[in-house]
Amino acid sequence: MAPSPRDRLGTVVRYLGPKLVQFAFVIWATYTVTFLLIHFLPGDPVLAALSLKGGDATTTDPAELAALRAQYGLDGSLWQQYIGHFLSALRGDLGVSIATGQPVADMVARALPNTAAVAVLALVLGVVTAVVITFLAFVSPWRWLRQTLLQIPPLGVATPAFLSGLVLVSVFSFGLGWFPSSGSRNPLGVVLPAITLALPVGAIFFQVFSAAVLEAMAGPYVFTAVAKGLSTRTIFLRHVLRNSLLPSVTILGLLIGYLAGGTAVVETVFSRDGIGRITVDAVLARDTNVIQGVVIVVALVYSVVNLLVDLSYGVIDPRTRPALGGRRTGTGRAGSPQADSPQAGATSVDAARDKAVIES
Amino acid sequence: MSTTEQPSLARRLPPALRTALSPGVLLAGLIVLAALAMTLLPGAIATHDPYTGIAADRLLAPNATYLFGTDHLGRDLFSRVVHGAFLSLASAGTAVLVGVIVGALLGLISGFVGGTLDFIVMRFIDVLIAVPSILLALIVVATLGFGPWSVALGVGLGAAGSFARIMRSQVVRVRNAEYVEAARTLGVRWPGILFSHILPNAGRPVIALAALELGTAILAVSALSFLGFGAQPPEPEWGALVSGGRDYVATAWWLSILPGVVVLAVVLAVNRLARLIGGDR
Amino acid sequence: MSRSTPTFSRWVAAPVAALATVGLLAACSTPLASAKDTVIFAIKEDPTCLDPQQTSLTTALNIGRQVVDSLTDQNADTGEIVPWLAESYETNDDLTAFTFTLRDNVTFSDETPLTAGVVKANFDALAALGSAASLASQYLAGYENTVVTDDTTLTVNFSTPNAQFLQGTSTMTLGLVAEASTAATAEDRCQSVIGSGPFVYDSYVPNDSVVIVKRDGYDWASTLREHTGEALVSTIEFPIITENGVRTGGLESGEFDIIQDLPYADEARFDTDDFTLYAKANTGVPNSLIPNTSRPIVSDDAVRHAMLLGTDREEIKTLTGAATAEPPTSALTSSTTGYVSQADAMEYDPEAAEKLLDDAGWVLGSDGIRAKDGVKLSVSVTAFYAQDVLETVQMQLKKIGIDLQLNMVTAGDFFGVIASGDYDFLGAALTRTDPDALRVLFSQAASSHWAIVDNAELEGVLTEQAKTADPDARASLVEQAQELIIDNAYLIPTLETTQLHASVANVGGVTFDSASRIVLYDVRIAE
Repeated sequence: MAPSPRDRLGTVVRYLGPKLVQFAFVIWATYTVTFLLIHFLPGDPVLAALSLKGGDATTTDPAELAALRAQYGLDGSLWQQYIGHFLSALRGDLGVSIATGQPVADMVARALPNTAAVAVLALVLGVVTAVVITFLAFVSPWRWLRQTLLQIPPLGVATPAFLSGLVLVSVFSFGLGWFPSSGSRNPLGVVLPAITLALPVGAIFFQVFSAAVLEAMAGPYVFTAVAKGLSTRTIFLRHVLRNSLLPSVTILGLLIGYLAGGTAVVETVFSRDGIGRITVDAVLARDTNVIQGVVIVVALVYSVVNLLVDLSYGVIDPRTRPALGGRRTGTGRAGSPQADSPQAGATSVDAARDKAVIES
Repeated sequence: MSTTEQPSLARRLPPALRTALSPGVLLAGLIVLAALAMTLLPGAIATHDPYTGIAADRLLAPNATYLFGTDHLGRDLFSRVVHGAFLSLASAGTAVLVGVIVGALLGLISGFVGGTLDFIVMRFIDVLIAVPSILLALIVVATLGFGPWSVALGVGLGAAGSFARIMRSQVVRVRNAEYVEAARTLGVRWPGILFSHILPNAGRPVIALAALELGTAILAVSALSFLGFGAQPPEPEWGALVSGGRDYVATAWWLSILPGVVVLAVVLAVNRLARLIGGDR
Repeated sequence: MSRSTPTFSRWVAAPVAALATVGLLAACSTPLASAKDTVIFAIKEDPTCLDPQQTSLTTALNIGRQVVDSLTDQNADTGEIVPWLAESYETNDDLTAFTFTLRDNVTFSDETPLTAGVVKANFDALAALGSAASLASQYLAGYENTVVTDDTTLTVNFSTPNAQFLQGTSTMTLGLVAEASTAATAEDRCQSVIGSGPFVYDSYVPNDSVVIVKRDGYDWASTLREHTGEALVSTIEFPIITENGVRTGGLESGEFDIIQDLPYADEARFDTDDFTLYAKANTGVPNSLIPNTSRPIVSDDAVRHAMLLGTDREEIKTLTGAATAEPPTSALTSSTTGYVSQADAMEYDPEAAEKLLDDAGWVLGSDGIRAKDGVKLSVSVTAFYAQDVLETVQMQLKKIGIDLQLNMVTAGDFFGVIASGDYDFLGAALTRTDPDALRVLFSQAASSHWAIVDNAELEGVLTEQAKTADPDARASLVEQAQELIIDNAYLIPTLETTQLHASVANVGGVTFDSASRIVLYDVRIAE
């Protein structure tokens, strides 16, 4: 009996539903945990903000400081502040930065494109390089070449970003003059920071991808393909690549989180505006609203990416799709546990993610 | 009559030992041993006092007296690197310990008990992973005060998420395995199952990940020091050394590059050994 | 006949020669011009607030100076106050009333004219801002009101004598903004203000850059400048480059024309014919250890004196200071008016220092640190910059058995520590043009004083000098203050900071004003 459209819709909802709830919960929980953490931050945000303007003339008179605090509304109970901020955030108002007086939403909107440009370029460069190196290692007939190629990525993971950034600036900016050393005014300014970040990103992706490729290479369909006489290149592109996609896509989701953190160092070294930079400044200045705003935005981006990754599993690997339509037939354990429940997608997706994490 | 060739010494060894004695692993082992020696016995290896400088000897390039050259206050960089090993590696080690203890514990409870508790704990872990680890570390450090141990705590919490996930998935896998089902029917209680089946099987991936995370933790601790969140001066933590030398990249490159290379070498070595433990070749 | 040609040429020659001579003379007084229309000046940090009346950050003031003008100007070399936007001014005898007569035809960049009413609006708005404009409120201490007599005359009244006000009117902290800016909120003013200066704010992208453009029709430059009329370039870009290595690298590669804050370590690298260095010693109180004498070990006079004699200021200067600087020799820097050398009382003498400590009962322990009655001679210094200066002092004091702990914090935490009083020493300088800086720092009656000392005589001298109009009498009081401070070791000076900037050699017209901030009105780039 073919599943009716209503059954299909029901399955999709049952599949997506928990995911969306999970998504919303993670965002809310991140907001709450961050709120609690940063409200225990010692130090005075008012003084921090004043010192940015005041230099050595900053006032330290207690009476004046108390008046300023009241002016900025930094009184009121924790619960009141929490609810107030949360409701405003839902409306899209992320508050005002105490340090700069700017709306936080504006600051984030200004910095996000810069960070995104570097992050996306880094991801593209890293992934492409990793795929190319894997392909060359896969097809190369010489063992020494394969061994050499396989040694490169660990270097990428181990090199501290601040070191590689400084070296790249010295060589390619001041030495050869090919790229600007800093700032976002020149569009070429994105290249060196992206290369700096592409090293660790590419290396991590390589480790997962090459492991998946090796595993796919051992699969029976490859054996058949070789027996059929297909060229190595065809085998790689048609069979191996497709079957290595699952863990690779998984690690992409995790890499977004990594990139969000890595930009702090890169933006410092290259004097660029960006999410990492305003975060470091905000933590130093105890600028709670900015920290909140940044964490929410990053958590949102991360969760959206992971949601997309989860949804893409169904496209890439039909085996992870929940059985569309029809009642549960109770066919029992058919190889993988709980294969017939909507949670199957979730479990095997998590399993895939865990596998990728172990192998990374 | 065919003569059988005497296989070479290398080929006669069991495969595990052969891997262990390969040049890459030997080198990695040596580096890790050297790092450990620097951590435990800095005084024996360092050539000068890392905190005293001679003004006349400032900014000298590496030479016979000062193996890594001197910094802008005339202090011997090699001795500072040696003494900094403790701060960097102990912080990183603590971070991994924090991550393993917090994460593995959470993952164990979550996977073992299952149900609603599992769901809640896993969502909490999702949050831990969603907040970028450097951000989490920054917030923890700002809350607890700057210094190597708050950095370790912050980095460790950031890593706890991965450990929790791994532990939980292993626990779930073993818990549902058939031999456990068999043991249950034989009347073995859950605590027994926990210790004789679940922990040993779950342990191996966790240890492998811990070894890998050590490298990451070293980098994270150095990065935070670089951004100014680490130990107070004049403590020579490696990231702080790279940071301190970055004004001199054009005139005295060794101040940043040499400590950075040391970080690189140690992390590479640790990762190589970690892959060995994990069964990778 | 060809003969006519020479005659003709002789006829022509004379006028041609005359013309040529006139032409040459004209060229000598030809207005200055710039071959390039845009100057790129890399600054070292985000200015955060672009309102020169609110900010005291040097970076922000360096930009703000080009956008606002002041009532008076001060000759950086002689210290003499000269008229600028105010044609003339008068002070009453007890420094409580200052009358200014404004010049005509000055307009702000929104085309509103400068009138006495606008000046009054400026001061009233500043008084309302209060501690959000910290430096200005110090200049306006005791401000009562401004009385407008007519369109070009006004009198500023104070309830107590204010010795630093007139000099303050030459700074950009009391630089004048248009009425529209005085009515705006403090946050909006930080984004942009409307001034009457030779440049106008064009854009500000935080963490990235500030851009200012030429003000057309500008015609009221100070007499201390090299030219009159409009600025010589049409745009100045200030990219924000926090990495020192990137800033210096950019200067070397030609990406930047001028850079702010050349690290002293790179001084030798740029001391060549291809570059120009600009050095100006900061005025005010030098970088020092400022004590909280209410704390146990710090209260011990012997300890403070030993620390004073045990710091080798020459070595500090060699390791961390500019090559052209002098080590500090008093509680004021050598470039401040009223400075009197206390070199004898501060000379580096580690043996005398050790003897002082021995006599006071501080015995050298086995770890190299002295102790007395079971208490180690360990003090802490809290600071948010100049870490290398403090590390050097730490090494020097260790040699005489004192353990100096460093506590590097953020600027916000630094002031938090001052507000709570939770410190042994502070490590900082106080940069002011007026020797009243000593009162700001040491007088317990001052609202944001940093030193905690208990000395009635010093307190009296500091309060008195702020009220004294007669320059000679005041100078003698300031001298007394310096003697008292050094004799009691209420200050341990470490370094006289120098503003050090650098530019490519073909940049001209970069000068310092009396507050060691940069004036770019005359800036130009030669071929």
